[in-house]
Amino acid sequence: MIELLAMGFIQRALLAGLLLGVACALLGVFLILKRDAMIGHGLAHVAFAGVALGLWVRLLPLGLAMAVTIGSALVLVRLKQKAGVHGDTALGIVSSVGMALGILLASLARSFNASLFGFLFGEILAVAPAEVVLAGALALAVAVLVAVRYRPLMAMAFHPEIAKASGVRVERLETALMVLAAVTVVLGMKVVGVLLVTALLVIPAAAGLRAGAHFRGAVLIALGAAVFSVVGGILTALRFDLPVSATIVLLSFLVFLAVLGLRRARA
Amino acid sequence: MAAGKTEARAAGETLVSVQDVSFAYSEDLVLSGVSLDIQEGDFLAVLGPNGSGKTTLLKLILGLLRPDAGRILLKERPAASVTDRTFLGYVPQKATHFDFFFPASVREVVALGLAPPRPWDAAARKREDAAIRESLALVGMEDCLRRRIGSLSGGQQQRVFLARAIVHKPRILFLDEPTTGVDSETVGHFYDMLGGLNRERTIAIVLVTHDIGIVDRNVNKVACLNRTLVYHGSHKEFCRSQAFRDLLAGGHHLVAHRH
Ligand SMILES: Nc1ncnc2c1ncn2[C@@H]1O[C@H](COP(=O)(O)OP(=O)(O)O)[C@@H](O)[C@H]1O
Ligand SMILES: [Mg+2]
Repeated sequence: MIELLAMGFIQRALLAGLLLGVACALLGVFLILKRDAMIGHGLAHVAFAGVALGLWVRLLPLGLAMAVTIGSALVLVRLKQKAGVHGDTALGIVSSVGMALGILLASLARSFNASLFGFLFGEILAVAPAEVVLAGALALAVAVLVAVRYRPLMAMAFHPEIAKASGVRVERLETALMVLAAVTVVLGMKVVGVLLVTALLVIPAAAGLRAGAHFRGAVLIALGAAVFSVVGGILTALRFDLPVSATIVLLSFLVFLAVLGLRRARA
Repeated sequence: MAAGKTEARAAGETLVSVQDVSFAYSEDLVLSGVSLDIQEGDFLAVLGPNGSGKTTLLKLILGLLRPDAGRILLKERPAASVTDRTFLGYVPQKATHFDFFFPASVREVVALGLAPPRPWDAAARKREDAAIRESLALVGMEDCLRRRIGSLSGGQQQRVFLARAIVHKPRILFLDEPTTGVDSETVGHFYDMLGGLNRERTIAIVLVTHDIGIVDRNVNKVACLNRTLVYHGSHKEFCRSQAFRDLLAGGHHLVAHRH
């Protein structure tokens, strides 16, 4: 185990996972409260189509996925804010179309191969140094947004109408959250895979929201749950030779259950 | 009654000026040609039956909706250009219809009404703490500082929302049907509390309600709305007016309810 920890790729995996966990937990808290939790799920499918497109045209799959996903996130926000399309419906459409496009493109490229498979299930042990830097930049951006706009974000999540009346620029904040969620999803796809990135956005945040007696507590518990699940998941998977992304998600689910149990016991 | 006293108040700055405003959500006009001014220190009751456009008028004033015609001035400037909104306080209709699982303490909810102090500025943090306690004490909720907002009763939540709306010491407070679902005994107490805020802190109050019982207490102006302004004037004249008799006679049932 100690020797493993000395290896560069394991250190990169731990670091990237940790940073991503931080971004997911913070964003997840606000997305859940705004009833946008499934955004991650929808965007992940779009990101998958983006990657498939990139593999097909043989050009920067991650970069293309990023562009496509951010674009879709902006469209989704606009649909919600202006056209009043129900979030669930818009997502249902976007995610299934994204997945269908991804599969179609993959089969066109005759490359439903190892690299696409990697994006489906995550390749945390193959994270490149540049991707660690990206995850760091993302985590920093999310943390700065939440720290600097903590009250406006909370006010928006709590009661958007009062927030708006008191001068909070709700639409801008929503857009910022959505773009950061898109970036998180694309990087998360690389780490835990498209199928499980929603889990990282939702489960630790849900644990925090259930356990916290106040908002600050909820945010901190969400952060703790995410970091514990990611780091614990990677180490457990290595120790027992398990698939990494599945272990991370199941561990976060155990944390969630523990939190529910603790609440029961206290009540 | 307190009314005689309140009418004697000197008119100060015009905080809100609604000028010939019309608004439609789709085709039908919900408000047409509404004009009214709200002065510093006023206690205005906006009365009208369900669907008469009361909430819509508040949302227009607060900038949550844009008028189709006419204009709205806040402190004598076009409403849209007013970015500093700290002179406003707002308790919306159904304020307490929020997610009861939202993990926020009463203290955190009230703090949302304030700009956060810098974490390293201990004096500012102390001032904030004092302001939060003071506004909770005003609504009689000082003992619930650490309670989770979702665990309070509807009436208590309503008072916390009021505390949040006044914690930053606004000059005008908008309340949209704040007493629905509150029992009648508490309602009287609530109106008196508003009267106190109005007189002792010179907060102008705009109270939207379909409860004409309000005009008995504390109010100095009345606006009767039924898609257009049916009546606008002092509380005393209102009690002698046809609009008042119509309301009492239940004339408002003639208006189609659209939901
Ligand atoms: N968001 C909306 N979209 C369409 N129509 C609306 C909307 N909100 C209110 N209305 C309609 O506008 C009219 C006035 O509503 P409102 O201002 O809420 O009245 P009040 O507050 O006096 O009960 C009603 O007929 C209502 O159905
Ligand atoms: Mg209303």
